[in-house]
Amino acid sequence: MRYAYFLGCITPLRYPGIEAATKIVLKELGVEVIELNGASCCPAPGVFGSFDLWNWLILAARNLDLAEDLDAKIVVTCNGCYGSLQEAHHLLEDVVRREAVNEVLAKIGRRYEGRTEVKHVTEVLLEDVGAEELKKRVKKPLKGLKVAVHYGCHFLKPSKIRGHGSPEAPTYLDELVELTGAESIDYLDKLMCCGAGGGVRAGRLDVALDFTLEKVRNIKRAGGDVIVTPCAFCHFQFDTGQRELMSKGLLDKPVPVAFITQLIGLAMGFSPDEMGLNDNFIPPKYLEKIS
Amino acid sequence: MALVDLLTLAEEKPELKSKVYRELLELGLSTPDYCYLCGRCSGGCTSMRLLELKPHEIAALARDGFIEELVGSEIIWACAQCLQCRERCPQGVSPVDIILKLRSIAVSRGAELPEELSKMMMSILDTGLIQEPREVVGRSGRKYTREALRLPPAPRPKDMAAFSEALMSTLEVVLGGV
Repeated sequence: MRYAYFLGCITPLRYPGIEAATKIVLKELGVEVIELNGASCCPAPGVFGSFDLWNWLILAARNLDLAEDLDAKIVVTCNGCYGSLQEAHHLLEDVVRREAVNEVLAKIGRRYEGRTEVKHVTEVLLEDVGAEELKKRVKKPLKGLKVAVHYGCHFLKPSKIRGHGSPEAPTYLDELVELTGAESIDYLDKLMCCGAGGGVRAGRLDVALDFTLEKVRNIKRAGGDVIVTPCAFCHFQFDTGQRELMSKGLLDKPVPVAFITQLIGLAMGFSPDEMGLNDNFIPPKYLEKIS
Repeated sequence: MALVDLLTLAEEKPELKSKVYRELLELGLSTPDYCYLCGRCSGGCTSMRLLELKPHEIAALARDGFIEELVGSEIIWACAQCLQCRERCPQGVSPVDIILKLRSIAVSRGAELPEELSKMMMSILDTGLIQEPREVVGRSGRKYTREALRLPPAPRPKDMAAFSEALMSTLEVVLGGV
């Protein structure tokens, strides 16, 4: 199990706690994680895809090639990176398309042969490490904690490429969360987008925040203690977005956010500081419930 | 201008429609001709709830050749790219990809874009990454840095200048082609 960690932008630059938690948890579980030096933005599907899909594909191909050079699979902690890189990998299985991309990569001395694989960190946890092993590693079960899972759109769709079961009624992450002893709750419009994707956050922040507010309200109504995401960008939208909503006077009490590996790390007995949980704007109040 | 106003001024531009169709086919998607307006896409559209984006209307308008009008409408910037429309379409049409093509045409025309989006793209071409590192300050005023988390300095690509140059040459071809 050897993975090159594709960090993307939000994780290392804005929420490094996600990176710290992921590295610590994977190492503890015996997964070898190496740095993917020289990686650029995936590039962001909403940003670059809106300008030109062809260049989006070439930028992604360069990142895939960096991992191919290391003879490693890629692991990601953001649904945006996951979407871009996995879809690019899929599109580049077509030889004609790949050769056209390689003509541009040749200008910087690179060539992608299509030999890497893109995995989300939750796939590494559930499929490489396995649920049985994870359960054994839980030293501090998160009993009594009500978790509101937010999947994020690109984690599930397109379902043919992602392969995490039904995109309309998924259970993949709920099962992973429940291995920690926490309860994964149901709430209204659980699969609704966080609002940030597709360049909406960048282009129309007020609209992105409307989405976030609706989700947060539904989560509060269902009694959620913490929002858990598998996506650095959704994490960013929920944490930073709720702060923005509060400063506009639109939200009174926020719901704290944790990345999936941060939650698993807590259950494995790592401290909140080691897991970078104080790295969020919204204080991790739910810790009182499990200490 | 609202989409409805634009439609009343519409003139057919078959070459633009062919370009969009060609690019959708290259991605292995069905063209909007396959849309029979069942509305499954709009029923699941995230942006429909708040912004009245109706993906099936986008597909139908593209099919009827109103590309120019769609390109000029703000509605194409409301898509959150949640991929529900691509997922749900029984005919293999992907309104989200039609929207991305329309955005590209808007960009190539020098249309007014959301400012943050342009900044982010320039940042990617410049530094490889979408933004500069931001300092994280916790609730107690304590600063959380990569160092404090025992992480190495934020990585950066080193060949970005040469790579951007290579990309820009293909971008010019793309931008000059519409």
